[in-house]
Amino acid sequence: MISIKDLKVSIEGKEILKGINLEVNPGELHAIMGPNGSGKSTLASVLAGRPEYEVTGGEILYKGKDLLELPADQRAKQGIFLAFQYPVEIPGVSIANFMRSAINELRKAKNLEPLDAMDFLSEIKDKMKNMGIDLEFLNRAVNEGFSGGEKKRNEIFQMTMMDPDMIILDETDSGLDIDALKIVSEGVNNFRTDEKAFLIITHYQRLLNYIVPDYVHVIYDGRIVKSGDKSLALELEEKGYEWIKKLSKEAVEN
Amino acid sequence: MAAKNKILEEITSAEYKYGFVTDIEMDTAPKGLNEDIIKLISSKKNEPEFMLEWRLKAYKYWLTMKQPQWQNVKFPPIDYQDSIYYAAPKQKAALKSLDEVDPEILSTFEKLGISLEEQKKLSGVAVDAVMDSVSVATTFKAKLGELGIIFCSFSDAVQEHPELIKQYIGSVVPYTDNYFAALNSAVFSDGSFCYIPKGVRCPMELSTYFRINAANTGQFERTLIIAEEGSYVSYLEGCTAPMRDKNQLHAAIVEIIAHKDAEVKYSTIQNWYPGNKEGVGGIYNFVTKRGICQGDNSKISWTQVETGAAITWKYPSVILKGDNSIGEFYSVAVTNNYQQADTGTKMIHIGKNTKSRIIAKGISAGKSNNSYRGLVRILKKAENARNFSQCDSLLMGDTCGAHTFPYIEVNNSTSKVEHEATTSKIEEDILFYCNQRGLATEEATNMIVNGFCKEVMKQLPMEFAVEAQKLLGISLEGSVG
Amino acid sequence: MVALETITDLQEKLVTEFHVDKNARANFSSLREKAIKSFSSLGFPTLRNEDWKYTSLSSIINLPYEIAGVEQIEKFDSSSSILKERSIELVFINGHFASKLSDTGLKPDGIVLDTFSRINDEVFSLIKSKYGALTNIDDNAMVALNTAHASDPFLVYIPDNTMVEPIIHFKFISQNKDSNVISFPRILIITGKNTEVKLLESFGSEGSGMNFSNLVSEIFVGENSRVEHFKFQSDPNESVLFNETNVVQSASCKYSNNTISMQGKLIRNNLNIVLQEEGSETELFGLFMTKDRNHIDNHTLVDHVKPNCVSNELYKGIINDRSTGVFNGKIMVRQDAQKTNAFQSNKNMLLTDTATINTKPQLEIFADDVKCSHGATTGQLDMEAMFYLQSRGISPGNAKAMLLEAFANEIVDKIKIDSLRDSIKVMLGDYLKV
Repeated sequence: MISIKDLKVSIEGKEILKGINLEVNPGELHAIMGPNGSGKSTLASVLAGRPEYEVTGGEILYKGKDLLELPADQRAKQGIFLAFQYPVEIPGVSIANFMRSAINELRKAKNLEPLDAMDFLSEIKDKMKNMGIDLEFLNRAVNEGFSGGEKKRNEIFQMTMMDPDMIILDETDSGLDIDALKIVSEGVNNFRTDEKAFLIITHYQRLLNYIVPDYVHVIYDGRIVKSGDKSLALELEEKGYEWIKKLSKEAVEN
Repeated sequence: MAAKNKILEEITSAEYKYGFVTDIEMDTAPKGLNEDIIKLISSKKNEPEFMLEWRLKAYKYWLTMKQPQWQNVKFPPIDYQDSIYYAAPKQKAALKSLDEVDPEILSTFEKLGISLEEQKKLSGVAVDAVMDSVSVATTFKAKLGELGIIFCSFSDAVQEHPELIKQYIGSVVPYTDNYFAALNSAVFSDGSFCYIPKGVRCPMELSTYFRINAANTGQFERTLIIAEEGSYVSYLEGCTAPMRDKNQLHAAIVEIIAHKDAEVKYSTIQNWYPGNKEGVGGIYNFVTKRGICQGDNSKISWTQVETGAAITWKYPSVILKGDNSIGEFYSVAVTNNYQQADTGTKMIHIGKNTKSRIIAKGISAGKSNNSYRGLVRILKKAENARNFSQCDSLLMGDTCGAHTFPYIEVNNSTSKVEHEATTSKIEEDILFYCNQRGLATEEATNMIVNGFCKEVMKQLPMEFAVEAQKLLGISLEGSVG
Repeated sequence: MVALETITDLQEKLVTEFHVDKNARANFSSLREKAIKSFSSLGFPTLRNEDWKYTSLSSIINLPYEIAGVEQIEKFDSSSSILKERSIELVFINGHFASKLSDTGLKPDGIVLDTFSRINDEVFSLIKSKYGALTNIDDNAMVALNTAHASDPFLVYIPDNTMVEPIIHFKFISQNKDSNVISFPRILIITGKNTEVKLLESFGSEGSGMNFSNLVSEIFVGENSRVEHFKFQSDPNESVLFNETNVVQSASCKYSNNTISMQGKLIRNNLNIVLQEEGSETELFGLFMTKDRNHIDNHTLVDHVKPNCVSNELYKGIINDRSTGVFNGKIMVRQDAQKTNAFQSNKNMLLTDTATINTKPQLEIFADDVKCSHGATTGQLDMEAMFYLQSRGISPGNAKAMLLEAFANEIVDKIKIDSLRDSIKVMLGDYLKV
């Protein structure tokens, strides 16, 4: 699905990612862990095409093609979805209007007719119910006045609506209470198939109790310093990030 | 950054759709302004003596005045002798039905998307079409007549209801009010008149469509709306003009009188020709609009979407005289290229428990300047008066300006006045979020702008709202930043 | 409709009695001559002038005045001071610096505190291009008048890397002997790089006639410097004060101003800040409380010229009896001033139906990547809170004073000099209880 080779990224002249290598295949779920400021969220943003970041080296191939050439909306149309760490509020734009525009854009890219209003409404209502979102939200402005949990739930709901192939969750678990965490995890788990690939960025091991990863990577100071299976997350939880600092030092020295 | 500027340019470069010229035979007065021209206009319209006297008084007063300088706009001096003050499509006797209207004119309005044919009743909007200051057709007259509603051209009203005209003309906007009001009062050629009798709720939207067609003419029309006790009417106004490289002056007056328990809703979609990308040509839109809530519990609500005109100065206002009366002003003003807008409202609280609400959204792009100017005045006796104002400006690009000039004057200690204003641009984070959901920057911008204006747009009647939304998109084409 | 422009006797007197010694050093004779010409053609501002729309000088300028002379009055009542600690005290009688009454004992070495006529050539060459650079004598009649008649301006010069520990306290005293007096104090303050200084202005008057002061200051805030400026305008003798303060800020500096105005027949403040270079910060706080038939008008302008500056402004007004309060605040953001954050808020309380508040907050924005907002509210005492306090046994009078103090303290609490804040609080409490 996605192949990242020696990716180097800077923002305002400061290098954040210093050579990331990562391969995610269809059906796989990768978790990326690391302390604050290690570059986790930068990786998510760069994959989705946030314009402030400058890629200074390396490449990203998505479905075999150069991803870095595409602007953000084209990446979305090609099936990349980012659940934001801090979903923004868009005053005056209702979720219904927002999602309908987004989905019809997607359909246009696939040469499909736009969804008519009735079909769209029945689909969106179904999916909202599944995510336990109040239908009243349809007419509310995107994320405006939502609680932290509601915003994150709204992100996962949008994911199910847009049916992407490559899903990136950027610290979706942060700030969630246990009930919200369960709902979000359930949304993700129901969405897992052999065709879809996931990259889950998190600071804590807790989320991985509910969403079980195939691989875990630990990122520190812009590099992946250790990869393993789900037991790595537990080991990390136990030994703490100090352990990672040591690993990182060793990795750099080698 | 360069790519962004390119998109910006593309979006702002959309063509004005209504810029065509209709070739019809015109009856025009000679250029220039003097007492003889005013007498000519009055006699062409076969007006009663009181009208001519009133016009001449206004003219003499105008001669003593100077063009105002306080607005935040710039333009070369206007030569008032270089304009034609009367231009009308030539027509024979009075028209009995639409069949007699020049087919060229019918097709002009057809092109503008306004059907004057009676069979299109489904649209449910009664239209008074005004071309070059003369009303050419009014639809649904008979049907409205059954309810006692008078909806006709101003000239017809002068002929048929002189007592109402005499009583109300200039009662809200006296000719002494300002320079352009005096000018209009002297030379206005036509406009719309609307009278809703006691207790009647007007069953359809009433609409006036203003079209400037002739070159070198000024357009001076008046609208007078009288809502008797307990009545209701929703009134719409649309405006377009051909593309010409010379500026044309439009100085209109709208007067509204709302008696006890009456409600008038007045919506405008102003899309005069704004001039070209270099700022050549376009309409000078200098308009005085004012309503008075004369009776207790009355309500006047102004909604405007201003996207056209080279320069706009207008301040639709409400005098809240009756106790418990309500005044509202909802405005979206978009300026692009070299457009200049100085617009806002005045809310004058005189009665007890009067309330006013002001929501103004300004969007500036290109090299334009957009100003909100508003006055909230609470007089001594206006106990418990309330005002809330919210003025937000959105800047697109760094060559335009957004300005806010609220004047707040409070003389009563039981009143409450709140004013809030913000200025910002479309946040990068919001654009990226929309991009990530597959929306290209241009569409995302449109969506965000429409969201920004939503509070105002939702005040518009349905048919108008759709048109207004499209218009916002067109006006800003090329300004994504 | 055009009113006849009447030239008042006072205007004529001020023009004919103007004289300047062309040969004396450091007296800016050509600037002053230009200023008097400008004043002569502009005349005193009237309500027709947009900047004076809500403030009329007519009842004041139609009185006969004497122009304050240099004769020194050797004593004044200084028993009550609003500062507890010893400060650098600079006393001005009718606009003229009174060195014998002043206390400069705490003056640090290197800083200059003196009138233009007494500074040395070296210092004069440093300030020559600065004096008058921040004032507009072409359009502003009051400033032109001050510039013409201020015969010996006062200089505060703080060289680079100087921290001035004691407060510099300007005491402006007006005195008259039964006749009305108009005076023209004029101050120039220049701070170098990396300096810190606290300025305090207070006002007083003596005599049974009218005291009319026209005070103009120019302040240059140096790079990476901090200037804290307090104005305490309270004169129980019903004097008239016009006070224009023009500030220009260099890079990475901070200027804060706290103006508290509570007594006086008429006070008009013009406070103009220009953020001329990047990375600077401005804080403006104001509290105006009017009573009787008094009139207080605050005009502020924050002009963002360069990027990455922050300004924050809060003015509060309490308007009582038949008095009038005016607030006119303008934020200007120029095209280059990207990444500007500018906020302004004005909150007023109207206590009677004969009191008037006119407010005009303005934004003029020419840069797109900015965050600017302003808000203005006018209301009255919260009746719920009044009732709540009374239900706890507090008398209506005390309840009202308590709520008003709470409203006012948001501004007073910004004053970082403890003794000043405390004495203002005491005076405020007395003022609000009456």
